[in-house]
Amino acid sequence: MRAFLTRLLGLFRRARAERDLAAELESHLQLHIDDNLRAGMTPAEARRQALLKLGGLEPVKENWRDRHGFPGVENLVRDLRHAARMTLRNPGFTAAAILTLALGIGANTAIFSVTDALLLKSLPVQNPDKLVIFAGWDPGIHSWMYNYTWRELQELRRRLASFAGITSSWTADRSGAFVNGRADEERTHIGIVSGNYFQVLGVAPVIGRSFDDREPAAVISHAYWERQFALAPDVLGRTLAMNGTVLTIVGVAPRAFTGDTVGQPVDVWIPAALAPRAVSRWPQRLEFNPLRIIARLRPGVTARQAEAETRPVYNQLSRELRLGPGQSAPSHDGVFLLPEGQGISRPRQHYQRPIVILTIVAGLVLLIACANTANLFLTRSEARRKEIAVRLALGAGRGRIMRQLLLESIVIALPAGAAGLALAWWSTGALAQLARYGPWAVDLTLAPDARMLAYTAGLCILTSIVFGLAPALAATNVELYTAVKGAINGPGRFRLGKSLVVVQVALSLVLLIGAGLFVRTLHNLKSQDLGFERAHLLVVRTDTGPRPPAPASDVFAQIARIPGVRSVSSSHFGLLMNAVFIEISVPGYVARSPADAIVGADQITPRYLETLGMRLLAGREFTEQDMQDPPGRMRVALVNESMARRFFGRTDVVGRRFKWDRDTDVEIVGVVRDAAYSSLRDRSAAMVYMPEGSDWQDLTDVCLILRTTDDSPGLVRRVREELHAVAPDVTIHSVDWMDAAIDQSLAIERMVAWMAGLFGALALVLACVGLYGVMSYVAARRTGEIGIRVSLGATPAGITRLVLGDALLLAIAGVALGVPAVFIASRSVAGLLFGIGGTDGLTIAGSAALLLAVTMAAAWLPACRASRIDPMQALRSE
Amino acid sequence: MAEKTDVWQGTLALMVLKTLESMGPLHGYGIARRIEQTSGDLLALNYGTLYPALLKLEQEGYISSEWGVSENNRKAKFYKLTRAGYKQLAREARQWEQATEIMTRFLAPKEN
Repeated sequence: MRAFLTRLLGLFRRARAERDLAAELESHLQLHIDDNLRAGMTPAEARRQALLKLGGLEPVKENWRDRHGFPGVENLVRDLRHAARMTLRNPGFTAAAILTLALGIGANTAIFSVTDALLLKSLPVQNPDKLVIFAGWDPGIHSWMYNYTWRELQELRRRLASFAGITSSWTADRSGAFVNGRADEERTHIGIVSGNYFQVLGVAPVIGRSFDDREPAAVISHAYWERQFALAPDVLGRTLAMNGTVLTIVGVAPRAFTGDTVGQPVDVWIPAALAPRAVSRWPQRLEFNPLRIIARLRPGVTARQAEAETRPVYNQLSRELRLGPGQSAPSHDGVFLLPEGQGISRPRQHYQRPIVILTIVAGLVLLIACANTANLFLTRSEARRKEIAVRLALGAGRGRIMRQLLLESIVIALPAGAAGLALAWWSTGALAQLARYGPWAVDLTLAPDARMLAYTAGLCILTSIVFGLAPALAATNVELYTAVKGAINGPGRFRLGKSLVVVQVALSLVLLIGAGLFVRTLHNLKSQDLGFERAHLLVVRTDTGPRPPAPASDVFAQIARIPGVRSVSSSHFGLLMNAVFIEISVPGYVARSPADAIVGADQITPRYLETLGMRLLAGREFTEQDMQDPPGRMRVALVNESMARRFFGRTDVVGRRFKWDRDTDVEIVGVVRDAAYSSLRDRSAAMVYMPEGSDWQDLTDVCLILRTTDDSPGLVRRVREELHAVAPDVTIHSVDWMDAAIDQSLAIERMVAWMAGLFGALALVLACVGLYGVMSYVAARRTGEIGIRVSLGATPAGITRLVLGDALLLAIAGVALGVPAVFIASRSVAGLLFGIGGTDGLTIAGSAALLLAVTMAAAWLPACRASRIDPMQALRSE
Repeated sequence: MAEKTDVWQGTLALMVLKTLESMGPLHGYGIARRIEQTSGDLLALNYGTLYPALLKLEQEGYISSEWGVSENNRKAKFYKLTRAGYKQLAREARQWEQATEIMTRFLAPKEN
């Protein structure tokens, strides 16, 4: 052990120890020579004998070195130094290789950070794999539903034994709480949870404690603590006023914990029992409050066992609820237990496919970058054949030389990884920004963490092996005699380099076509006929405060008077938001599936169609009278073409009736042209528009829609001011131009199109660099041959054609390989495209033509250089 | 002159330790000479092999070294036993005696 430590130290005191040894051996010789002289030898003989007896200076030193320090490690260090020197000697080469790889690694790391945050990471809770969430399956909309009621929670808690704890959670977005007597301008995201929520999840507040079931208290998020209280240590005991209810802050959650839904961070958690009072427009009877049921499995109990116990219990509970005094319906027809360790996330399902595809795209870019670097290394190691052959001839092992070459690739890969990480760091900000908009906005904190570092390090090592191994194998496999002599093998060699270029071209083609498809999808979505006029349309989202605001008619009249406003209307959900889905029935129409009876619905006010510019095909718009639904009067509705066609088989359905909610009769008073109402992708969704009921009168959560004459920012300010003047208690969430809102709703598509386009361009550039490198190298190697051709009468144009023809052959081979790959890959992206097929001929032909043209341009320079070869010089160098 | 024997594997260290014990601090050349003389010039010691052995002993902490001046005024590196070295010498000598005893019994003519 002691010897090991000394040897380890020996690594660092190398030079001094060597000097010491030399001096010691010198003194040894002197002493021996002195003795020999005394014995009567001549000085020359004395020295010779002494040296003989010692066994030669260098062998002794070599033996001593084997003992001193660790020769293996020292060799490695020496090889590393050599590798670093070699890479620094070729700064252009090194820069190109590092840049190429950095782009590839950066792209992958950035995508990984999103994938990790949204799809992979577990909730920051104790044993996340032991958490389950109760869910019912809704066949109508083909989705899991997580909502239960307070009553169901209480009963399940009492009757189930498989769980260590059962808790509840729900999220509500409401206008700001009053903090320090001042209204929070932003929306506050409220977590409505049971008293045992933090305990069941295993999340301990960083300061303070969590609350009891009925305590007027709140736990705030770390971000909210920072935003509202500047991390003040005395935050505990301060109060928040929500909807007039005063809550004492008793704890702050850890920074990492933002609730049980991913991408929708909670600001303030409050006890569920207080929600009816503290949250505006919340169901006043506690037993009907919506909630998600989250439970922690008892140790040793599997989710499957727990589900087996839960099913009959829930079915029994459902029967009791139906027959019970209140005759309330159970929330779902059955119950499933789903893993909750990663947290539920609605955005997740919308981002999953795009993210998976972008991950694959980024992977392909990295592969191209690897191929490129491998090619650079290959051409360089070909140029170093002589050096390598000499080292092999001098007795260096093949393994040693391969290690040397692999070390050189690691020397390139490490800084590339660091640069890639920096690139990813910088771009995750932009990615998070892209994800923060749109209908599935997610608030992701994409800070680089240990997982990201580990991923990048893994990528580095993997890539250096991928791009370093093949050239190293090729380089050490040389025939010593020919290589040392400097002879160049026939032009048939370098097959590896050429096939790498073919693969690069093929992959670039796939990426280019993908980019083309996504960019055109974005364009198609943006430029399609929406069914309403998108220009000069202002959308104002509001929320009422604790006191009832001014009458809606006053508000509308006030706003309509603003110069520049042509007409004003409102709807409950507004455009491009998910409308509510309702089940309807029409006499004589038999739904083929439960989903067939479902239509989208929204509630609107007079002048809606006029304001939006939607075309009325038949009948009339709603009037003021339609808004007041006096008892006994028939309810009225507008429907769109798709609804009319599906349920009636025709579009002239004015005067026909359908049933809503099983027993409410509704008469159709007008038919509207289809519009991209809740989604830009689906214009043909069946829609029913109902009049806003009497609750419209107090402006509850409505979305005001204004048709204006221009898009001036002054107008936006004016609308805010007037609204504030006429209804001071109304909070304005947002005032957006429809154009901008449409743009925002395309966040995912834009992200995909941008990234795909960026990666496609990157791939194109990389493929060109690769082709350029290979063609330059091949042309240089054929110098002798070209010299002969020229001296036999070949024209410069002929030589150019010769080299270009070679390059064209490679590019065409790549295209031939890439097109079938596109046909295979297109199926997986079809769902993300709009208005264009996955194998769109124009996109494929255009991309192939672009690729061929650009590769030809890249080969032009080497071709010209080859055509200017002086035959005399070329032949002499052979 | 009798045929010279090579130094057996592993015995060189013991010889070095023993030499240092009996002679006190000594330089490499002195150690080599002393080993040869003690063996009655029957050992063929390649002086060069001494230095890796000295390095090993020093790394193991049994000897320490210091630059000094030799009897005929030459600068030389002197080695001396450490306390661990004395112990190690005792241990190795005992082991060696046991080994030789066994070998002697083996090779001794059978007693009748």
